[in-house]
Amino acid sequence: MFTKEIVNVSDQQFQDKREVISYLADLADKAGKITDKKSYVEAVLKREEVVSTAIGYSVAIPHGESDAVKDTFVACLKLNHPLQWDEEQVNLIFMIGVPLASRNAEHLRILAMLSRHLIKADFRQQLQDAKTSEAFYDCISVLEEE
Amino acid sequence: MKIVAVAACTTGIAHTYMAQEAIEQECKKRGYDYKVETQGGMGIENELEEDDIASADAVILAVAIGIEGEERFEEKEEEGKVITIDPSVVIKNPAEIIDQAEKL
Repeated sequence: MFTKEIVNVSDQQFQDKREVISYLADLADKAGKITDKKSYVEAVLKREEVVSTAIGYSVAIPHGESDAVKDTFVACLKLNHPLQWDEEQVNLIFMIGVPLASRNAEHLRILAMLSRHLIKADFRQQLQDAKTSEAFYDCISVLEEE
Repeated sequence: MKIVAVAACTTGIAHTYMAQEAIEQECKKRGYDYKVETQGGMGIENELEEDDIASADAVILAVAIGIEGEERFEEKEEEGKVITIDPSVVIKNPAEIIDQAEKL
């Protein structure tokens, strides 16, 4: 569910959330997690319209349920240059993809655990302290083993 | 002080569990009794029993959708002991919501 290729620390300067969502969807596409990037991105943006997924604490969790998702995934991005995401300043982005047809209980359990961890200040601090993509991945991938 | 809550969001993937954690953390910090039911992608977990609800001083419904078993809270509603808010609000500012619950 957490794959190295889609866990990054980035120096890139993004203009808005659409750009980030599209960038992460590209990564997920290249990693073989989705079959149709366009329709996945549409699902995510539709969800954003309902209510922003910037949850505070510099974290955003865009997500979409779509037939275009092959495998449950979380694309994780830490930005060295924070971005304005609706009302919030954000630099930690976790973009979640869940297949519409086959919800996997184990995956949902891990997503729930990630969600709960993001509320914990010490876990967020660990993420903020991770300077490289490797270190960032190490912080996140432990969740899969718990 | 005892607080019971239900957390539920539209997709049941993330906000539900964040709201749960936010409420639990804040209650723990204050030394309150608490129980938080989630209605999410994994169904109903940590379900609130009649006793839990009856003995609670306040109920927080952190819900963005209709929930199962809403009628369980009718009595508390009549007593003015229920706060209903969007999960995202309690995630961003749990202390404020628990303050409100305390004053009911």
